[in-house]
Amino acid sequence: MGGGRGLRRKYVRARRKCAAWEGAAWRPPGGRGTERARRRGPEPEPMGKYCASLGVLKGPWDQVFAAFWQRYPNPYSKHVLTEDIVHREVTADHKLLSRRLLTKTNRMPRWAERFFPANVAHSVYILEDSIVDPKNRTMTTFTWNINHARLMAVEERCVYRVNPENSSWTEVKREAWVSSSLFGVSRAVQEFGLARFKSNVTKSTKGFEYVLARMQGEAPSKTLVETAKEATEKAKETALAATEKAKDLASKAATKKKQFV
Amino acid sequence: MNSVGEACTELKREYDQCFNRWFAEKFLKGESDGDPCGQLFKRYQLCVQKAIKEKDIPIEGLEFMGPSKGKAEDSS
Repeated sequence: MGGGRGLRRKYVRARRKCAAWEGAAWRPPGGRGTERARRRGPEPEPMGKYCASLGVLKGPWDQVFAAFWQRYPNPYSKHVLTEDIVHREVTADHKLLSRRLLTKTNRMPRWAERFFPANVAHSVYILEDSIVDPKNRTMTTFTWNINHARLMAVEERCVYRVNPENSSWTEVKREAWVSSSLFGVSRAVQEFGLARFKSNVTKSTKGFEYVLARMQGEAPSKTLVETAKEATEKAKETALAATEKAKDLASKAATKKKQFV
Repeated sequence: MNSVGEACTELKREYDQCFNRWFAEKFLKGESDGDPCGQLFKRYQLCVQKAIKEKDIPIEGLEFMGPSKGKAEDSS
């Protein structure tokens, strides 16, 4: 017969909310989003996913902060391959700033491996910056991947503080942003497809008119031939403009930082 | 836990042990005297920064908490 449940639950998630993250509204100034955040597009479009959650760790703040540095390895971290501190300093106001480098396995579903074969071979490098403030009993962390970022960028911000309802517990507020430059590529494909379709409609209509006129006994006048030439030129211009816009969208969607893979 | 530089794992462990003790017994209690782990940290960093360069891991030039600038911050 089953015995106890093992570890008593030390973490309770109070609530979580996830949503599509729209256009420039969520994107912070600085980093990838600077210009986009300032420029307002004609309509917001979903740029990624945003999730926020609030939870409680059943331990006092100092124990939680100490545990933070001793997290790896644990039975649930088999996907974490290496852990290193690459920067650390104590500030004048007694805060600990640290940067931790993690490498993790890059597990993708089979369909993703087929689509992105170049990414399969590379582990994911992740940086976790943190500020521990023992005077205020808070810790803030920011974690993000520094490769594979064009394919998918995940950023997470956590704030740990003493649980206001129970001072022997610690509250964790977690926010995550998941985005992909593939959104920009699909928008570019749509824009191009629409522009090319429109120019084909012009050609199709003009062609129809031409043949009809001929059937109705009108000689294909110079005017008609010129109109056909004009239509072709206009169609070329529209397609060119669409290609430029599409290239522009696609390159804006790609990140500006130096990226791996 | 392994270091990204295979040769650095032992140095990392020594440093981690020192750090964890200092962190819980001194730093969290507000005591900022001394840097008992300074030497160990230097040795560990020499090793790991070299490994990072060799593996071409792109950690250079990234602002601390960089991409998060502008995200609403709780006052600390």
